[in-house]
Amino acid sequence: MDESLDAWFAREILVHEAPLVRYLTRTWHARDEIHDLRQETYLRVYEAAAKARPRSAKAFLFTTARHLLVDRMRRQRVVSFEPGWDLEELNVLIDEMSPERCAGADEELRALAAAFDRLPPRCRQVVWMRRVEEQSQKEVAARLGIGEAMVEKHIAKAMRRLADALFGCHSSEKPKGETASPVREGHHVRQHTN
Amino acid sequence: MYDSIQIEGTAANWLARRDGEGWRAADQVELAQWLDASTAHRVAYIRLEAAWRKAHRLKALATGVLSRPSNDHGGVQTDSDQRR
Repeated sequence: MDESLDAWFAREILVHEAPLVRYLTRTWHARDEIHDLRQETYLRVYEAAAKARPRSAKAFLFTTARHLLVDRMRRQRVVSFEPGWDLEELNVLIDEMSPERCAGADEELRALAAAFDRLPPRCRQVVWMRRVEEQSQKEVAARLGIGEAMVEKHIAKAMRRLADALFGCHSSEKPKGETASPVREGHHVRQHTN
Repeated sequence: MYDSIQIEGTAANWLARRDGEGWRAADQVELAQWLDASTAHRVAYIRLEAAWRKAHRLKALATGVLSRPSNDHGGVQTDSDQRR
């Protein structure tokens, strides 16, 4: 195993973010904790993989998520899962989770394009100049007549939005306050991270 | 605000700084320390870094693989919304 752990993590784990978030959202009672649960799942997976890479990354990811939920539930003494909820159901849900919904290169490009389109205008301009025209941050700042710190700020914001779109496959879901696309999964809640 | 969201913000700031010209060896050392301080830092960083790397593919859009930008650098129009 000469591949770096970071590269392995990006390739084998992050691609399952959309089904992971769906799983967490369906299973956990507090929507505002999903981001935190997702990160905690990643953390546990990464630390375990540092010792030994799991044979099936996806199965390991979901098992880790399930263990985390059980731990949290015990700690918080949560009993407010959906009626009829039990540990077995968590297993079933894992099986239901569709594989990488946006694994295809085209699909990924579309998700990227859609996320790019949804960036605020100035932020979008900065990303375009930096990532497509490959101008330096300094050049971007000069051309737009803004400070370099502001360019940095736009880039930081864009990174977070694009990551959500690419890994979480949020491209098809309606962001708050923007034009609606046809309703798909009515119960699916998008996590806002900015 | 949850820690994970705060950490993601810090990771984004690091990456945006590293993307600029003012990046020095001392910054790299400081970043390494931040990454080593917590696996939560590291996974947030890896995630955003991978996304920013993939954003390079916006160039494919610019050259017309899917569509063309509607103006100089204003934006990219896609047909994805109409399809969904």
